[in-house]
This record gives sequence, C-alpha cells and structure tokens, in this order.
Amino acid sequence: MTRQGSPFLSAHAGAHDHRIPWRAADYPCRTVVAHGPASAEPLLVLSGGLQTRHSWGRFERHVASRFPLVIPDLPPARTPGQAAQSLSWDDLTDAALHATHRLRISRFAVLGVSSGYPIGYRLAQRHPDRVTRLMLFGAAPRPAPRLAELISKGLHREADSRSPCSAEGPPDRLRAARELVSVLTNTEAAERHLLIKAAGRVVLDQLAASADDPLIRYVHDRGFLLLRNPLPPGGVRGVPSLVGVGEFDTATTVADNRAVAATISGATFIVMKNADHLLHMERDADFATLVALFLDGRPLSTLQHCTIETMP
Amino acid sequence: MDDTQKTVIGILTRKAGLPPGPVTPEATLTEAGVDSMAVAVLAMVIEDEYGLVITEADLSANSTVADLAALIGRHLAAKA
Repeated sequence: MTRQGSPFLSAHAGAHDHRIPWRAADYPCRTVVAHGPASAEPLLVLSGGLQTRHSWGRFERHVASRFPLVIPDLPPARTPGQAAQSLSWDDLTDAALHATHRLRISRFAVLGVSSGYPIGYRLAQRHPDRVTRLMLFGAAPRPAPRLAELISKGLHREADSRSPCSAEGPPDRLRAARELVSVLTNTEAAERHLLIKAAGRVVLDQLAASADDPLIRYVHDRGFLLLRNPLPPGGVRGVPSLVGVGEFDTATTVADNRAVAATISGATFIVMKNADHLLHMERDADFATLVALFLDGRPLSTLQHCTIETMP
Repeated sequence: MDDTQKTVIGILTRKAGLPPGPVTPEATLTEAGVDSMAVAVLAMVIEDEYGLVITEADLSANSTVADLAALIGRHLAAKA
C-alpha cells in the first residue's frame, strides 16, 4: 500500500493544540506527530461523548511513533438554552472534515468510537477517496433501550424550566454520574474484571467532578443525536473497514456492532474478549495493536483473545 | 527499594498495564506514565487487598513513585 504522510503535520512534530475555525466559532484539535519524515497517513480520532482530545494518552504512547494522530474536540451538538440551534450528524461530520482541510491533510484513516462512530461512518461514506481506512468501535444502529430512556430523561430534565440543571449539588451530580456510568458500562462484568471496573471509575470521577449535571452534559454533547439516525442509509463501499466491540458491551451490543458492520462492504468484524464499551482504556495495548495491524494491512489472526469475521 | 515500593510498582506494571521500564521509585508520576486508569487500579487494589481507602486525588497528588509508596506505607502503618 502506498502511504502518504502530511508535510504540514511533519512540520509540527510533537504534541500540539490547534484552533480549528469552523462556522462562527472554533474548536481545539490535538495533533501528535513523531519526529522524522512523513511516512504514514494520519489517523483522525473521533472520540465518544464527553471524551476529549486528552482522553487518548495511553493510545498515544502506543502508536504515536507509528502514525500521526489528529484528535479534534468537536463542538458540542447543543448549547444549553439554544436547542433550536442544535447541530446534526452532518454538521459534526463537516466540522471533522474541516479539521483535515485546516491541517492540510489530503488522505487519512478514521477511528470513531461510540458516539464518534456516526461521524466516522459518514466521512467514509461520502469521501471514500480521502478516507483510507475506517475503524469503528462501540457502534449501534440505534441506542440500546436503557440508554435511549436515559437520554429522554436528560432531555426532559433539560426542558424543566424550574431547574434547567437539576443535579445542582455534588451528591446530585454523583448520583447522575453513577446512573450514566451504569448504563454506559456493564457493571456485572466490572465486578469480575479489574480494568473494566477501573475504566468505569475513571469516567465516574470525571463526570462527578463536572460543575454541571452530567446527564445534561452528555445529552448536550452528543447524546440526543443518538436518537436521530446515527446510522445513515446507503452503507459504505470502497473503504477497508473494521468494526469492533467488547464482548461484555451492553451499551452497544455485539449484535448492534455486527449490524453496523453488515452495512459496510467487506468489513472485518471483531469481538474482543474480556472487554466492555471503553476498549481503548480497558485493553489499551491490545486495542493499539489491533489498530496498528489494521492500518498496516497486516493479518489480524495473530491477535489473542479476539474472534474475527469478515462481512460479505 | 523497600517492600511497599515493590508492591506499588508491581500493581502499576502488572495490574494497571504500565510498561515496567519507566516505573522506578525515582520517576515522577508523569515519567512513570501514571494516568487516571493506573491511579484507579491502584486505589481499587489497595482497598481490596489491604483495606485502605485512599482517594484518587490523594494518590495523584504525589510527585514520585517513591512518594506514592510512602503515602501508602503511612496508611498501612496507621492501620496496623
């Protein structure tokens, strides 16, 4: 495979934050680039809800020497009190694409996790000439019933004019954070697997430390969009693709992820053992190895603790 | 290296998944790669195996791996 690096990124070796002007505002975008000549296409990392460009520290340590990373903090899809001006999946896709223009990246691979997946999917669907490889983890055609119910609850709470941020005190915020984490992670699996439990605890601590109601933050960030066609019709063709999921994932189940993979021509579908929804935290080394193998076009059969299928 | 340092380094490298090379007593937490996941694992293991409840914020407030081990050592001594 011919690989094309980015001279612009090579001139910005190391870790940098860029401001990406987009529409009337701007958003930050982290780039992590090894010193040396450009030899690999960058990987655009599309984080899940409430994750930031700083949520990928371990992944960076594993892979940044091999390919440049571009990690945007896309704008939240909704601003408190301005529901009428909500962004759509298409808007967020445009925002992500704009980062590649701004950083003068012509071709790039895409990694989309959780609620970053609908954006990655749309990029590959609409720009197969620019997206060299697509990797999606934690992808579902629609949110699981418990998550959909929680999102609806967050929307109602947001609409409550008496108390737009009803989780006002630390105990309320902790309760709301626990509720959200209990839906996004598999608490039974966490009791049996230390790293799954630790990942949930990290997310819980981050949410509980927020000054705002964690559930409303989640809904504003991107959560409400999960109720609006995260998986667009039309499928993806012409882009080598991988869809992966942890075997214990209850937020986006194995069946959900397989259903998304089935819409992508020739996609590889992988289930990681002993893992839940936060794969890059729970199985960081294996996750990074999987991504690197796939980006290099090497066989995934050497991976341990995984099952692999190829979609028609 | 004392026993508590060996225990802490063992937890960080074998259970929290940090590469062992940089995790030395003299290393700062940043140099050792101690991140929020590693701190969460450490907090859970010392709670489960030693009955110590130390918050992630208190664990993260230390400068070096040796300081981190010393904090845990003081809690162990107080509990004895």
